[in-house]
Amino acid sequence: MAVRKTFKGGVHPHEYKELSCSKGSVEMPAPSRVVVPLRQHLGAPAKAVVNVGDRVVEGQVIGEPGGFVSAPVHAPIAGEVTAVAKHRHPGGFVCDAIVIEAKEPVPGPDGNVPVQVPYRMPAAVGDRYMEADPALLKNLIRDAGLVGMGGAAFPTHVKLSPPAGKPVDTLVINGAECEPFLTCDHRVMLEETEKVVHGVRILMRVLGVERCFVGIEDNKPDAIAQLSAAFADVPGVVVSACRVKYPQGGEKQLIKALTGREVPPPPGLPLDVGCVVQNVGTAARVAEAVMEGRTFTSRVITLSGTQIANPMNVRVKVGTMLADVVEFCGGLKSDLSRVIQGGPMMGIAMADLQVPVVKGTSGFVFLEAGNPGDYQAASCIRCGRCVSACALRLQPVEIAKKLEAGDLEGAEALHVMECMECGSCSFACPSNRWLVQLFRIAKGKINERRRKA
Amino acid sequence: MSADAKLDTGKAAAAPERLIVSPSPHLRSKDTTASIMMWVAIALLPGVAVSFYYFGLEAVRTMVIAVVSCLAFEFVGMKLLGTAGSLKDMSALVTGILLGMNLPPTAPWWMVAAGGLIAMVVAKHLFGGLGSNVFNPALTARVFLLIAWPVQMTTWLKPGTTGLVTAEGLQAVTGATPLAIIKEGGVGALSGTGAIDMLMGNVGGSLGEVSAAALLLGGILLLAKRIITWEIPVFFIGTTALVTGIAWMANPAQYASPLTHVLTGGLMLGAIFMATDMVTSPISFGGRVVFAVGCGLLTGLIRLFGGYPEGVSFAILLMNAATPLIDHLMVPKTFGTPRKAEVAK
Repeated sequence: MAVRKTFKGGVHPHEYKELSCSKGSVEMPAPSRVVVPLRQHLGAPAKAVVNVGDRVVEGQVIGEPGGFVSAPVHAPIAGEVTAVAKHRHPGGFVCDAIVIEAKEPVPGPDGNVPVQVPYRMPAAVGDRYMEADPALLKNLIRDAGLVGMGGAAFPTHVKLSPPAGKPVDTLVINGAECEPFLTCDHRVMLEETEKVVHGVRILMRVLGVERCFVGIEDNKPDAIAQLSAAFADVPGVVVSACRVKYPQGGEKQLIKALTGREVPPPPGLPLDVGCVVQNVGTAARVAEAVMEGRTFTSRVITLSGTQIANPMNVRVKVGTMLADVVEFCGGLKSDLSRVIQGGPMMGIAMADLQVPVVKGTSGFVFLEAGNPGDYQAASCIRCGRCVSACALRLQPVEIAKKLEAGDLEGAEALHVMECMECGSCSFACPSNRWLVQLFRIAKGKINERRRKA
Repeated sequence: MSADAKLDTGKAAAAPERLIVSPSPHLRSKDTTASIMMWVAIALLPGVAVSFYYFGLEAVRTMVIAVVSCLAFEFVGMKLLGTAGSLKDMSALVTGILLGMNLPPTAPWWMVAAGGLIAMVVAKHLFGGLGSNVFNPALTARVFLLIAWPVQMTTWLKPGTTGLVTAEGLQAVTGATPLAIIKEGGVGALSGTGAIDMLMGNVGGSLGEVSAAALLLGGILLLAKRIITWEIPVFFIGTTALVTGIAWMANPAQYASPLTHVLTGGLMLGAIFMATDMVTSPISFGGRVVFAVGCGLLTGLIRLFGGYPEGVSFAILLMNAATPLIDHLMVPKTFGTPRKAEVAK
């Protein structure tokens, strides 16, 4: 294999991928009730276009985009809208959500029960996407409600609309999956290889680029081999093995590893170095949207961790309650104390299991209580591990020192606003100091000040 | 239904009533301050063993007093000043072993204990305790003792002594360190001692000055366990070799070869175990390179032109003082920030 590509910095948490990586994804039967938040993406929330009592079919629009940087949401199951109200979101906040309960369709005047046909976008082009107008392809992607499936959930069509004056020459497909425990991207690469290939070709056509890198951490040799073979006759696409290192799947780190380019600090974007990054799972959904007209109503998630009975990958409807998924997967173990949405490095801790799966949910990790010592910060011994762990060449120890002294300006001068909150510094600290946690608070405060100014 | 109406939360799942909600990251690396310190102590063991082999009970006695006094004075310092630290973090153990390694085997007990007091209370806890000290505690103690009691600090036992030595018998078993011999009598005076003797430790000196090989072994362990990084030992030793090498090439009759300089004195101990002290060295790679080159330069200059035969301690302490400045000046450019040349374009 060629040289394994990577970036400077980063850490090596135990991977725990073995718990679920070899288990093929299982389809969970549609639940009888789903909760579909209107905010499943970065940007403006969607606006509900259905009312309580409305009948919906699977796949139809139930929320329209609230702006350009927004995405529609669709009905994951057929049934009746029973509520449009606030609900807890796995992102740690409360937002409007549409609740749908499965119901038998009402018999028509002739007494016949109508067949419920799932909604498919009529403009879908099948496998003739290479002849289709790129603008049409992009509209299909937008109307399907596609958002980044790696966690940040940025609307896909926005990334595919680079502003004039920012030429894009490279598409980067993110198959790194560097968070411990998570294996859903790995399974998608193995099980939906064809769709990934189609999706990548569609994305390249929309962007008008001739070059694409697919970056995969080399703890997934089977996925690297399978995708390399599948892309062998697609010109311009290179499948690259990346070193196993967190946060290899960070947008900036992946671009650096694959192209050598460094995205400028915020507000710099991958666009500024001619790159667009999309997750492999998103690529597969792009193929479904453009070729089959499917809207985004289901995804593969990983349920893993030390405190779930059967770690596994499962395809679920968006809006399925976590409690239902857990029940389907065979329940929990007795020492459960922490439930994390996303990976354990950047994921959000849940207060209970009454949260829905959303488009950006890559999985849930079930853990025992942490070692209490892990939360008791001891003195900094200036070992510099946070400095070498930082993938953005920040100096966490120095920034933390400023923040502990209440010096926000000092922290800003040391570039705290460039922190992407990957958590490598806190992971590496032998004294369990609160580093990224302090930076998050500081970033919020500084943003607030800037808004007021 | 109004927008803020509570929804039915669905059926109860078999989850505990209370989940812990803490901020990410939810995983922590296994290394702790105590485990780092423990590995440093383990890495010092080969060097300690060699000193015991060559200097016998005198070395054991000195080492035991050094460790016990450092542990005791750490406790005293914490209680007296209310500063950060804990005996459990093992840092006092490491300081104790390093203090022992920095003393001649025949150092009187009260002098060793005074060293413990200086190291723990003055150099560490008066500065704020663990992580806050500017100077390496063990080296501060060594230099204090060297200035306060120069005779006792430069009375060296000949290797091969096994039992305890009485004050009257001391004269019969003392020798000099290779660097002191060169300082006094030039390179010719050292003709009896070969590189192998210096490598293995068959020479006079402090406990930790004698065996370059044993210390290197410990250094390799620390590198393998990723406790220390390579740049400080390599640039420190390399710069010392370069400086002394230039002098040697200019006048081999007066100056010892760089090999002699690398293998003798406190260089191995200093470069591997003291200059790499995390608290008192810079936090960035570039900063550590500058720090190490400074240490090597000062060591070479003091050895060649200074009044003392050995300069490692002074060099490291001086660079310790420069560490905050180095850290302040050597802030790396953050990811994606254009370099100056690119900005000019």
